[in-house]
Amino acid sequence: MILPAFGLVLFMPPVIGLFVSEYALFGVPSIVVYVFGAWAALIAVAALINRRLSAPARSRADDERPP
Amino acid sequence: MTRTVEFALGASLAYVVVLFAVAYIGDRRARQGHVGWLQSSVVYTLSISIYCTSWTFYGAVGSAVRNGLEFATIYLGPTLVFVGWWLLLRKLVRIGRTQRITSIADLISSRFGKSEVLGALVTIIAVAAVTPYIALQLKAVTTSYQVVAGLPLDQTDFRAGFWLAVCMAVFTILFGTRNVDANERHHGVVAAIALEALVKLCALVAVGVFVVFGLFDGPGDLFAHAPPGYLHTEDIFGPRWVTLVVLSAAAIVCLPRQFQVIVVENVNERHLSTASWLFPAYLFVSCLFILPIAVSGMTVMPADSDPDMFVLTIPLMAGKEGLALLAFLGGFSSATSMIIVSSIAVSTMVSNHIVAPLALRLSHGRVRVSGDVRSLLLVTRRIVIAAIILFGFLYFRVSGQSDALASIGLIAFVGVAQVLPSLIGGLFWPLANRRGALWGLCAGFVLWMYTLALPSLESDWPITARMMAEGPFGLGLLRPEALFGLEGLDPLVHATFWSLLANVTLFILGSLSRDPRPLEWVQASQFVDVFRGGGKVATGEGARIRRTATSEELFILAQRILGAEQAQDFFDATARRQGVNQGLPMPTEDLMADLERRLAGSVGGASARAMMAQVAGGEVVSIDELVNIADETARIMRYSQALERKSAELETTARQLREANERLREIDRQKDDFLGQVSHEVRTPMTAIRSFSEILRTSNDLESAQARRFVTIIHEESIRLTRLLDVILDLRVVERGEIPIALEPVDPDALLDIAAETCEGLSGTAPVRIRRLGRAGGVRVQADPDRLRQVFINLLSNAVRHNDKDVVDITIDSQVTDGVFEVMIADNGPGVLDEHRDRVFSLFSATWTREGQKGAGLGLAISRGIMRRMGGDLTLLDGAPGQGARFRVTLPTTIEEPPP
Repeated sequence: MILPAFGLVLFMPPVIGLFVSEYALFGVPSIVVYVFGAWAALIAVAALINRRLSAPARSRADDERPP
Repeated sequence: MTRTVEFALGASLAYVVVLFAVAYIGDRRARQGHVGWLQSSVVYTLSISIYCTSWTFYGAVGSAVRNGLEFATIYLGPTLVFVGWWLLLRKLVRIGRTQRITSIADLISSRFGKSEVLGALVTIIAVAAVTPYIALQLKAVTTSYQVVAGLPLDQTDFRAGFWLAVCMAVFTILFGTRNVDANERHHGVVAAIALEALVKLCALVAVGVFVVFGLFDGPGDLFAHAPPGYLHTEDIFGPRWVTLVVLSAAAIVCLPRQFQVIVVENVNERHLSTASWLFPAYLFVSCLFILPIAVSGMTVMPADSDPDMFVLTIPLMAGKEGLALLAFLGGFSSATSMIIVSSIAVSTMVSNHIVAPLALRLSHGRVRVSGDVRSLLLVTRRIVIAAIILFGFLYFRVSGQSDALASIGLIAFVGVAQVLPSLIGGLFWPLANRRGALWGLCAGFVLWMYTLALPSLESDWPITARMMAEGPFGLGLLRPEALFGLEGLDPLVHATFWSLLANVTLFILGSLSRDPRPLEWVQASQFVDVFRGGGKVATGEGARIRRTATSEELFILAQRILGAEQAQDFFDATARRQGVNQGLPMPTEDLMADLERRLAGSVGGASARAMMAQVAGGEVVSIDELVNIADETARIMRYSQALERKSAELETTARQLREANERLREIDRQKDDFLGQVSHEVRTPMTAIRSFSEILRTSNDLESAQARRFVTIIHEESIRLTRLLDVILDLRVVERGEIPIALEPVDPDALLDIAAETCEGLSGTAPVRIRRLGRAGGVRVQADPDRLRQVFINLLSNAVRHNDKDVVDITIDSQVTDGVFEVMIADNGPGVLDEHRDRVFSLFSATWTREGQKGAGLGLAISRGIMRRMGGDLTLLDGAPGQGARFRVTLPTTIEEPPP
């Protein structure tokens, strides 16, 4: 539940403004690395949570599925 | 060049044919019951990706060229919404399924008391936002077609756009309006758009990979070629960034086509949890190569080329025509899927919320034929689909050459975001009502038109230009892009701020200005509490609403809307459930509620209600039911208060228990000490007895004098043992208060003398000196003489035993005060330590006596027990340390004479 709030903080000024710099990682500007890195991390955590949630819920959900 | 034209045309035609084929097969499989992969969560996720239209396919690169990372906001908003699906989307989908919601207009209108006005209003907003959006897609396809075909760009060729519009209209009408019930999914359409989602993703990734690794030497090399200062500005992370994230988050829920695929086409809530990460991942992958394409476009393309077409022009320039064709198809599919789903969604809204209510009013009193409403709806939808796509084309035709279309995407976002306050409020705030929603939506809509849509027409319409600069009627304060003097903001931020501010404020004020009407109240509880059985009320009892109708009337109504066959099926099923073998089922409340929901799935909640009202009379929400709803709340509050009280009580009890437990532990410890002491006491005489009897048993040649001595010792030790056991017995008796005491008038001073004499003879290392100070002189007390003497002896022997001085000095002082005989016994011993004072009298207190190793620590406890049984008391007086212990024995005096 806290994930969207967390993501909101990550992608909103002023946090995001911190990563605007001349520094580059393997030639890719740091801000680009940050935006896409944080994005990927958010997706990974969501996928992980989803797997946790759906594992116990699966058997129940199967029963509810319409024929 | 003509070869390319033919090739591009052929490819797009072939692609359209494939789409038709996929849709046809998907539909047929679904009809035959083979839904399998059509209902998988992956297909569901892919269908959501119609969010990425050609505007994002081509336009994202252009946006990246102009504003750097800003393009990412359009995808970050939806990512956040989906990652947090548990909060909003799950509730939305559940409501959509239980209430048979057909569109976002239906959701709003159903929530706020099945209001026809609200449904129509949301529909109008949707049409106003979607039509230019469709125009934008047509423009994108036309331009991309011209680019691929190598036609000059300064002259727009409208033919491609026109034929695309026709194709899409045919496709949508064929596959989008097969059923009138919006809850019966469009499997064919979903299959086709899932395919298109794959095509556009592949195309974008292919172009991206080609750019990064074909044109450049990996990402490092690519970014090294970026213009200096590009991406290194903080400017974009300002209000516009925030606004765009919020708008895109709103759009992913409120856009009619998104609502259609997320809520209406959803078949299983579990798919949503998969989509919660798969859809953001899709967006992520589509975005990954936007920046590289933009950077390479800025580097390798001529300065005057259109950045919006980089996806196409870069492969073309590099001579990769196949790749360019793939990119063209990608853009084509993102445009077509958007047009298809948007027109389906909007046509449903228009037919259910504008045409159906009108038709109901107009057809009042006419002959009603089976299936007439159904065919009316289907025809309406087909016409609306064609009309919307045609309008889109006309819009494109009129403003095709201007740049106005480019900003249409975001303008549409702001438009549909006006629904958000009512949506969120309706889902989470039970007090939100129709008036609030109406005020908020109207204000938001008007402000949106005025501050954003109107200025976008600036260049085409001479009146607007003057109004923009000077305000309407020369009123500078009302200039559309600087409302109330708010200047210096980006027009988009400005419009979003004012429209949403007015919208939310009026929504809240309107909702607070009056209480919800009964029907609104019922709907609110079903929507807000959908996870707490709110939905169950509707499906179960259904008795909240009272109305009467005959089965025949209901059947005719069902036939008109559902068609004869389906209506028959529905009534048969209901009849079976009711146990009616032949004919129509009973017109129960359940049937009517079921039927209304069934009809709502076709014509929307408001129209379904109006139609039911025509046959069954207006529904009356009984006061009892409302009271019940209110009662439920009160009950929950009472319950929680009771719980609170209970928990406080429990806490107190727990504390008391803890204390009692502590006391028990202490007593238990004392008892253990005592038992240890007792066994020690018992063992000493036992050892003596055993060893002497052993000697007597084994040796035959014992002198009789010696044998006699041994037997005497055994005898003495046995007596000691007996005494000890007597004490323990006494102890238990005292403990239970069963000590046998025979009261008679006695002279306490005489008893004291006897006790003192006994104790003077106590053998010890130190001589004992007992002094009598005062005497009470001939008083009588009611007491058991033996017991009283026992008490005195106990006190005196304690004084002797616990003494460390060379000469034991004991003083006895007795007197009578106010009819109470009082004896003070003091010694010159070490006294009682302060920390032991409390425990001296407790039953098993061995601690105090332990140092002396002489007693079992029973004496004082028993003595006090005896004194109290006789109506007196035994207390330890305060004394300075080192002064010795002072005990006081009190007994009430009596005037009875002792027996002779």
